[in-house]
Amino acid sequence: MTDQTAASAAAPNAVPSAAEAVQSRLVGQFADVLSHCTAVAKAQNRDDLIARLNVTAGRLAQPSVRVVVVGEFKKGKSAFINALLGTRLCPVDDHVATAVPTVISYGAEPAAVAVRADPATPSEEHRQNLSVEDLASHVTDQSTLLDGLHRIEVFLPDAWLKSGLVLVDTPGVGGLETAAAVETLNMVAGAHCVIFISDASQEFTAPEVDFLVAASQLCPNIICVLTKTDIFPHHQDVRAMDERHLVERKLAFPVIPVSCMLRDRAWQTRDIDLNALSGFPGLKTLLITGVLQRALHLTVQATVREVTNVLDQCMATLTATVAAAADPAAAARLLAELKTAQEHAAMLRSNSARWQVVLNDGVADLTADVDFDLRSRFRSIGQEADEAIEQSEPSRMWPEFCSWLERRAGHDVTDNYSLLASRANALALQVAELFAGDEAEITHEVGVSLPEVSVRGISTPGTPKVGDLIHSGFSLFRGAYSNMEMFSTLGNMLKWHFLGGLNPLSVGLGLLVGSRSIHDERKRQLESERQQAKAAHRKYTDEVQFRVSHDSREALKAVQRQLRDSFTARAEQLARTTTAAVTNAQATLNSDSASRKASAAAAQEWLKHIAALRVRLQAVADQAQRTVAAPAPPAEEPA
Amino acid sequence: MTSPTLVDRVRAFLADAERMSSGTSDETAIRAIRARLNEPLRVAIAGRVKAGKSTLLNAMVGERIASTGVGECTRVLTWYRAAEACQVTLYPDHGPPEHVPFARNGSLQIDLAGYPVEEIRSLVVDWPSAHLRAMTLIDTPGLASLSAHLSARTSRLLSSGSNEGAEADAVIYLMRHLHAADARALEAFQDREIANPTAINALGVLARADEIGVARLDAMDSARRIAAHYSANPSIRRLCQTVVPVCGLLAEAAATLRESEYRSLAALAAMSEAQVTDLLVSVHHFARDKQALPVPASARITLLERLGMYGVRVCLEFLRRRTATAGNLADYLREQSGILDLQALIRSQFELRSDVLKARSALSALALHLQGRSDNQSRTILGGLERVLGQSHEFQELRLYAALRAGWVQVTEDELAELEVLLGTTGNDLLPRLELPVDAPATLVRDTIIRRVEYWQRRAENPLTTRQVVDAARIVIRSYEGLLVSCLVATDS
Repeated sequence: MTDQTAASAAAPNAVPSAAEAVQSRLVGQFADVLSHCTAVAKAQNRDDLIARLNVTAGRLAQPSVRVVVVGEFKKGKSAFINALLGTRLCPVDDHVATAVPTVISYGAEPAAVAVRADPATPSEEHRQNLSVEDLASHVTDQSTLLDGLHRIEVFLPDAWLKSGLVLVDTPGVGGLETAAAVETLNMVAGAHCVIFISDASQEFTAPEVDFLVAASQLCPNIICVLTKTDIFPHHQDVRAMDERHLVERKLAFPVIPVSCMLRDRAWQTRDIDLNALSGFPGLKTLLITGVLQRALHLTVQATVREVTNVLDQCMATLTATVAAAADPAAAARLLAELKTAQEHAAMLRSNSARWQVVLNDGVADLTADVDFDLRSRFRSIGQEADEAIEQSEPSRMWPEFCSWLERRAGHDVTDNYSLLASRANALALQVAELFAGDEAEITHEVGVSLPEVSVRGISTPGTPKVGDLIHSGFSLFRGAYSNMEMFSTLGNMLKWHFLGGLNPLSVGLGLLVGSRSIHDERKRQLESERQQAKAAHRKYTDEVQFRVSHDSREALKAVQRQLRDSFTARAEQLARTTTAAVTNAQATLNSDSASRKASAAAAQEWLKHIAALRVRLQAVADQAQRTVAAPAPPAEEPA
Repeated sequence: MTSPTLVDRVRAFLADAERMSSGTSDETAIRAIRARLNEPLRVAIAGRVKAGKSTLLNAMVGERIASTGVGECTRVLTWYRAAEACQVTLYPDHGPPEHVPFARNGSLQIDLAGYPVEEIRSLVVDWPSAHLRAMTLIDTPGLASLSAHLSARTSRLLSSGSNEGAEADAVIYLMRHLHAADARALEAFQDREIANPTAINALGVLARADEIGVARLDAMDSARRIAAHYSANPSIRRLCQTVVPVCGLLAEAAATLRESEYRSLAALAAMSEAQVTDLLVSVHHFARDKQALPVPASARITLLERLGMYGVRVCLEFLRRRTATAGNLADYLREQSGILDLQALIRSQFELRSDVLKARSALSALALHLQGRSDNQSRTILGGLERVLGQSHEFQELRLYAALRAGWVQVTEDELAELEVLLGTTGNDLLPRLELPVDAPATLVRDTIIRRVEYWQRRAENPLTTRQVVDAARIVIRSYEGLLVSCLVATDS
């Protein structure tokens, strides 16, 4: 386990895992329906709907499930990932530690890429190919190559990864107050599942629990893993204590004890009992049912919803034709109804649509609230700092003061970030619901009112009708807070502010002049030191506040843009649909009786076809659910 | 660096201060401070929760008196003092102290007399142990505990910002890995009035060292490398003398090994190679109920709890290599645990300096007590305090040492090495301070000192030398002059 050089990264995972098979089966099941739908859309010249179907098909083929592995320093995260995948990829050592996030996903050939960015232009990344053996020299904190390194991406031909699982190995979190904690929380916000690693030597410490509470607000799907059970005899007691602590904070996460060493040995000796003892089979089952299956279920749900929506829109134009042909007398009323629908659709697309208003107002409010929160936090910090300075001698307590200030600032920034992330999520859901409601109404107005295709299965918390939202590649804050290195640079600026010019030995020398004047001199010196100290800390907190509020504003703007663009696209499709309906109805009315009958008949044919497709879709949906929910085959590797 | 003259000066000063403040409210405080000078050195053992503090304390005292276990154990600040008879006194936050009953059940089970833990300031255990005569040990509740008030009490004990002043004279800080909480706690233990962040009265211990190497047989080698690396780390250097790895559980077991445990281990070691290898795979393998083993499962579980997985591996490997008695085994374990190095360090860095450290604490406590006062009496006392400080060369040396380690004085690497040895070495023998061999003739010693004094004089007179280094040079010269005097005195006598 201390083998630092990443040997050939191909894992002995020859047996294709259950998850991978499931996924390819799903693709096969839906392929048929999707191609028929595409044909329907093509017949109506709806290239926008075709594009939408293509995106859906692509997502089905590659659902990406991000699992972020976090935990305190030296608790065994890298060893855990190695054990899970059966590789030696992540460097494991008693002393050096992982310093850069490592993103592990599927690739046909083993490969590694170092992604760098100049701190001045964080959005430009350059990629540099690495050999997999060199990984250790790049990833660890002893590395001299860490400058500007954002992350390492690794590609492995592992069956588990092929099913869409993406593992992220993170540097240790040294406590909620450090700048690194915000980085880690950043990654947690973009994850489907978080695996929190602690070791079985002792119960959760206060910083670990604080981190879990903060993380739970950003990603509700957390699994706690206790490592190193092979050397700690009391790991069951520790697990019980941990579970109690979680219950006290109203967190309901599973706590799973594992041993990476036993797992490693089980691989080598092909010992099934040892593998069971290692705790990994249970964990894998949990990952499959809890994470992968849930993600696949959501994907199925989203696919069904997308296809249904496309079919509905195709139906709209056909229904209009049929209705117009059937009852030309009521033509005026029909046309009026269709025109109303068209107006509503145009409204939905416009800037004064309800969802846009809620979105814009919501973002404005949120920006103001987050800003206010940050300001008030930093105001209290400033007050406390001033008080502390008044009550002591700055030159003597400066290092301690600086580290307190950095910690407090870091802590408050983390809390502020949590507020931002959770409220932004809530806003996104609110907007999506509003849009979905309006969309449904318009579709109804156009005369389509068929029961929804239901997708039975696991209920997922927090994702009512908007599973598809999550699947539009929507990750709110990936890379939003790019300025976290500032904490250490600013901190350095703060630290040496006083110590440069001060002579710690000078006190003794002043004694020659007699004690009374020393006191007066000290007093004056003290006052000036205090003023300097207050100015210094104010400068620091102003700078931090400035950069953080800039980052949070940018993040919110990005959220707003993403939501706006995606819903506007949908609204435009709807507009096109209603326009087409009106055009078709008009054309039908204006044509003579014979061609009216002909187009009505053609339309009916298509409608029957679509109805059949809907039935087929329901069947496929049921089949897919059964596939997803099927239990994993027992005792996979290393049997 | 022991100097009876320094302590005499401080005693005299405190006597004057007490006399001056007789009749005022300060008198009792000053008397208490004076009394401290005659007590043994107070050493606090601090660190994060479950770092192994109580286990280490047991190893140092030679008995299992502090309770250890899986969950958080030490909930009350507990002082362990040498005394003729065993007694436990409880000091509540409000109210008078009272004696409380206790029982010996493995470790000490103390009856808290119905007081909830949050309302107890400290417990004082009087215990007839020879090891406690040299120093009083203070076992602390862990920092970063889930019970915040427990950590708060420890922080107050260590930080000199509290009203009591730093109650401990020195601290042994246990860390498991360099952690944000660890660095903070060390920084909290600063003596503000006498010297800035000091490396003088803090020792770092890389605790539970076996676990760093995940209980492999070479775990301690790995831990030693890591501890050396931490010792060289600038932030650690500023805050403590050095960092040594210790496996506290092994040391505690070595001090308290029972004959029955030895016999069980010997029986296990006598089995076949294959059986022993299988046993040592994991704790599960070692403790499981399997027939045809010479030692029952319950006994094996006890062995695991006493020694840990690493300890068991070390014992079996040792007993398989040779025939040995229980005494041999205990000696070997003590050696492997790293506690011998720690004890040597404690002796040289704390015990041999105890006078200076206690004097320092006393003056610091007095300064804090009178801080911010502007009446004449306080000003006079504070003035006297500053004079004692200024005239005490020993304090000057301490401060210079601390400043050097913190990197504030811009000297060359060679000069730094020379001064660390000169100022950091304790004991009356001056040869180690000059880095000369034991058999060096007196002439060599004299010449070395004179040469160095000249070097530093030139340094001080050079107009390009910074003010800090000039001040440092003057202190160094004075130290060398003191050495020269004692060298000449020795040759004359």
